[in-house]
Amino acid sequence: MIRSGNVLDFVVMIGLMIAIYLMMSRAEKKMPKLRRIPALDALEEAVGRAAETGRPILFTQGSGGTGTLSHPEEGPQIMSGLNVLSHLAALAANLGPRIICCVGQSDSLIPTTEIVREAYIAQGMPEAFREDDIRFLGSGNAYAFAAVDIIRTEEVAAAFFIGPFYNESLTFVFHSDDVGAMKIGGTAFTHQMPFFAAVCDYFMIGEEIYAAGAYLSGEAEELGSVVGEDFAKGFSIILIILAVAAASFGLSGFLNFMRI
Amino acid sequence: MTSIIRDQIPWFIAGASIIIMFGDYILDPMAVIATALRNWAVIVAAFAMGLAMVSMTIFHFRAISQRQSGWYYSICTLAGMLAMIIVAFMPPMTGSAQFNWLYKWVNTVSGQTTYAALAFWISAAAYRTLRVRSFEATLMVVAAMICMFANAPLSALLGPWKPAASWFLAVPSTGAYRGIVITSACGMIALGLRVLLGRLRPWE
Repeated sequence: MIRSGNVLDFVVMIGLMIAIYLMMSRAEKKMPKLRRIPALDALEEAVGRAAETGRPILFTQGSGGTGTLSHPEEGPQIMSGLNVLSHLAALAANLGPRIICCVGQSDSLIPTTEIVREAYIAQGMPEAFREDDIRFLGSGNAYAFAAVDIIRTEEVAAAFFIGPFYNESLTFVFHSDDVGAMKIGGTAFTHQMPFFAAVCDYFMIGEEIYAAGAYLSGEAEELGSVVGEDFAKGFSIILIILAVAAASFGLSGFLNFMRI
Repeated sequence: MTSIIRDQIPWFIAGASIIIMFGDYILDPMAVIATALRNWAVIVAAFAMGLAMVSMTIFHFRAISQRQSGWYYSICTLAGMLAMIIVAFMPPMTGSAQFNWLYKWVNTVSGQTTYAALAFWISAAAYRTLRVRSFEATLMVVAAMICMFANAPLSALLGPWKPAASWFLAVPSTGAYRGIVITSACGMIALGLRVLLGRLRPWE
């Protein structure tokens, strides 16, 4: 009935910690204190700069193919990117610059279009929304170089790269740099992190992109789940230290208990 | 009514999907439902691809008809897309020699060419990153130099770089990456919970 060998206990324990903090924040309505995430704080600056220069901003989530939203690693990153896009589109609607979205995953075209449209409607600027600025560019290298063409021809003032990126990441940031754009990146793929870290003005590492939605919403309940997540990380660190110590000193009882 | 369609129903679908897929991970009886859900996801994704193609076609037709900047590239895009569709429907469908020829000698080759351009960007990124400005930067420069020497053919004459480079990759680098992977996994669980509890609704 129940499959053995899976890490259910660990996932449930971490999930419970996060859920408890989320509930506590809901009950107390107390605003948890989080450290600043510079990349998210810079959103307004980037959009403001684009408004001042009269140039558009670019948002993209990396290449992919069919079914990326249901992909276990890419899907959550795309969802997190869409959360950031929602705030970004609201800022763009308020301050005025065009927002161009380059879509590399067919299944995220409709959510992207609707999120931007809703943001413009919510800000009372439905007439400023341009459906032509939400562009599906195919996938892989075709997408990458079509996006590069948009970066260069439109001379974007700010470029946001948040999601599951592959080899296109460096190409994007260098071409954005060439046109003098402010570059904000974020991915949970370890193979692309060094490239973003090297060239972007601001960069979100791994879990920061998952916390972005909660951070930008500023709501106590959502921030509570981020605090719970931090406790889960602390718990993981303690477990790792205990397991390393047990393995070093040959404490088989603890290792058996941990199924290591 | 609008709230139910735009808010409650997507939340219910998202929550039910999370519960079913998580249940499949631990409970055998959930396998049938989870497999059906995965198949639905494939079908929905295929339709999404169709919609995306329609959107792309409309965009490029408009670019051509309005003679927008670079409209001739739009002709190439539409011609390429049409050619691949026609060839893909020729018997024996995607197994035809013409389809494979186009894929291998147009798509793969152009992909490899663009991929090769990355070498220049990587060099430029290395130049920007490897500047000795602080103690941490110096450590990174030393580690990077050792790893680069280990991979350069002629550097073998200058010393045994391989063991040091292997240690850098296997110990500090892997340790840091695993830390990021673990924290990302915690972030993903929190994201799933926020969707499940209705606190996060990216579709809104």
